[in-house]
Amino acid sequence: MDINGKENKKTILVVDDSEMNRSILADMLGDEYEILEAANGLEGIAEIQKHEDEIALVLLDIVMPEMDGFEVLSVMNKGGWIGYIPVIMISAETSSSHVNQAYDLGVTDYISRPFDGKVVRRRVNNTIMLYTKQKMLQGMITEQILEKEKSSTLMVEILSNIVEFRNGESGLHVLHVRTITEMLLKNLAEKTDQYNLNHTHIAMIGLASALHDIGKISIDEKILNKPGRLTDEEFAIMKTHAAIGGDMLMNVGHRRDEELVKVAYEICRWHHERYDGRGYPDGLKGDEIPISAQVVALADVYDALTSQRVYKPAFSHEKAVEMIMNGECGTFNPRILECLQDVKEDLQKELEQKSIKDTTRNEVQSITAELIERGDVAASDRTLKLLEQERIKYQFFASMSKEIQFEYNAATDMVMLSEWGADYLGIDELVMHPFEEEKSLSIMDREMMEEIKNAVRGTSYVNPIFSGMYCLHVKGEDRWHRLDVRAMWEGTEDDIYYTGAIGKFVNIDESYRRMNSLEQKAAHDTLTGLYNHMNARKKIEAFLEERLDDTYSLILFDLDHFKNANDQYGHLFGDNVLKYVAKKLKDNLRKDDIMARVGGDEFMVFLEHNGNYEAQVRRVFQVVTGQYENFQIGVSMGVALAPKNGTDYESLFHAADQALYASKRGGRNQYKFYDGTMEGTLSVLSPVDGEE
Amino acid sequence: MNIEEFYTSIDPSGDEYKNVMSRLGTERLVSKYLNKMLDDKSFSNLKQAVASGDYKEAFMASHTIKGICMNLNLKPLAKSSGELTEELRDNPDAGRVEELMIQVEKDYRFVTDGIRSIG
Repeated sequence: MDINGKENKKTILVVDDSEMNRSILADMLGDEYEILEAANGLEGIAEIQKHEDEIALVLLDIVMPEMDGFEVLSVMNKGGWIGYIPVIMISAETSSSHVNQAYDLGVTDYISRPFDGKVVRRRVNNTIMLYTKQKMLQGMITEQILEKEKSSTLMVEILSNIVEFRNGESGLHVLHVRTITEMLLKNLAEKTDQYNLNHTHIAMIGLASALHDIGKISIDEKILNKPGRLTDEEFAIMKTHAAIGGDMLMNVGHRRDEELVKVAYEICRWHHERYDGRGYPDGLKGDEIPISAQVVALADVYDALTSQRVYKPAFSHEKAVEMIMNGECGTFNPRILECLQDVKEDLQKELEQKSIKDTTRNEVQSITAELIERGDVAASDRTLKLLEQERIKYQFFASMSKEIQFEYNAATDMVMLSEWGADYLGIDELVMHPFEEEKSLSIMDREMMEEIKNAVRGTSYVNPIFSGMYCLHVKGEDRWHRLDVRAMWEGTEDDIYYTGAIGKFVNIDESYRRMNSLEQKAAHDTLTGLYNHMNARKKIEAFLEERLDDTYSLILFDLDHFKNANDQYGHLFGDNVLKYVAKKLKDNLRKDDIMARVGGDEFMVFLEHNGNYEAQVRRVFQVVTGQYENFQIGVSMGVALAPKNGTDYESLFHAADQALYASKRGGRNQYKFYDGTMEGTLSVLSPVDGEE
Repeated sequence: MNIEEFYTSIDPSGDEYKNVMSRLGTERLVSKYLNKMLDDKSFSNLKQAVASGDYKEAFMASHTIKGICMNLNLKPLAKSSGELTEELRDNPDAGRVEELMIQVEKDYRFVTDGIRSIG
């Protein structure tokens, strides 16, 4: 029972196909709980997906259309929800096999109809209390574990993981800084006892070093990950991370007195001070700077130098040491520089061995995962509120963007669409088994789906994005869309697995079609609809390049006495003659043959042949010659053969041109194949040939 | 007729009236749900599905009626629709379905006529 009034009412999801049953349950429970309703299993899952962090309990019917209660339970199992959302089955089914199956699938309780208001209320209250208590207990235990020394290591690393994630640094930075710090300190301890460095102290500084950049959490991501140089103003903001990190540690309440927190404070606040007093935030000088911060500062610089960053390549170990020793990267305590000289060989070896597979790191990851799975420590109320805000933001932008946004969950094999997207496609927001589902197959066929699926699965952890153009069948119309999708990979280097994908389809139909028709127009001669010279050339070059082994003929011809046709019957008539010739070509040649109008009355044809080129050329000749109204069409034709006369476009065109000229000189209305003796004659296409 | 009289017309012992009041709490709620039953499409769905031989759909509708009647303590209709539901669940026999349907229809009419006459 809640004493804080309506705001803090817990939420119950009622999934039942009977409106009356939902209504009865809502009446029974509405005083104490917020009620969400779903009319079938599919809607139920959609609600769970949307409100997973708010729903305190699910009341679930068994027999329902679309997706029954058992299927809902199995989806909840796959999605991991069953672990933290208790489910009470309510059904008129009383056979023991049903009841057992329900318990096997993880339901907490089973209420059979007819249900009694008091019984329902009591069981719901008990279940929710039980879960809350369990969560609290888990929380307390976790808290206790985290008190222990080992777990503070984990906690520190978890926190620094978060920082690194935000910085876009490799996971190794923290590990490296720590290793370097410890090695330098050990060496320093051998040299002097000025700093009271014993084994415990060194280990503590090493551990705390992981937190050196924790203040960066508060720096705007745009500045943090800016690829180029920071402006003065941005750099000033960036610099605040040191003081902020210190403040964060000062605010940890009663733990402030702990040694670890004190050391971490020194490191956070002062790891950008310089030995010569020109650092920030306090301008401390010499040994005013705690030794912990001095050493971490050097370790940080070394690792930054030897790592690749967006703004610089990685320097070699030798180069990095040299730069530090020469004072190119700040001024350091000479004693620590001595230490660096002493350990530099060992350092390089040690760092090479430290890899992501390091045991502590694995431990961190598994514990982080565990915390997240339990949803108690990781998901504090504040986090949940933030997530909720994110969700609202996301929904808002999704609704404005007119994009089909989607999220695919591989474990449960289901797709969630944005509200707008589902509406646009005319399907539900939630689609189970989208690769089998009829409705989704009506939008894109199986082949397209497989192609996209394979492309997404074929991406990598480093390069998870895939894009493409797809024609979707939307409400009876084919529309072109651009797909951008990002595969979600999880895990560490050795064990990466695919968890799903997020992405969007954007309607680009209009611009795509416009572009296509422009391309079409640009590639074709407007009068005849054949290719223009430039595009014919491109196509031919592509053929020659891709299929070297095939044999081709390149035919060039022009119409004899075409000028007469124009003069005698007018230009319109002339155009009609050209159209007629083009049509004859189109009607009589194969679709794959390349036909082009390359000049006023000059045409080019490019054909594949299998040896019998003579007959083929004769046929083309016969096709284009003949009578058009009162005009007798005769052509002069020259032919070059590939690969015999050349293997590239230039030489083939030149040879055909020579042969065409030879035909003209030979009295027109004929065709000739190129041979070497024609070489050196004038070209038809040269300006000298102005006879017609 | 008032609600108590309506329940007595179904169950002369008066037990069902006591039960439904104890479960749902007030006459206002009982009357609200009884009236909802008049708007519920399950019965017409059931008739249609049985007539067209769509036993899967018929099962769903019959199951819903049974659930509603159990919630409202409408024993006879709960019983007859329950029997029909079981027949429809696996390999239904067309003749048997027809037979059970007659009883369901009779009980349904009796209940809905009764609800309409509640003042």
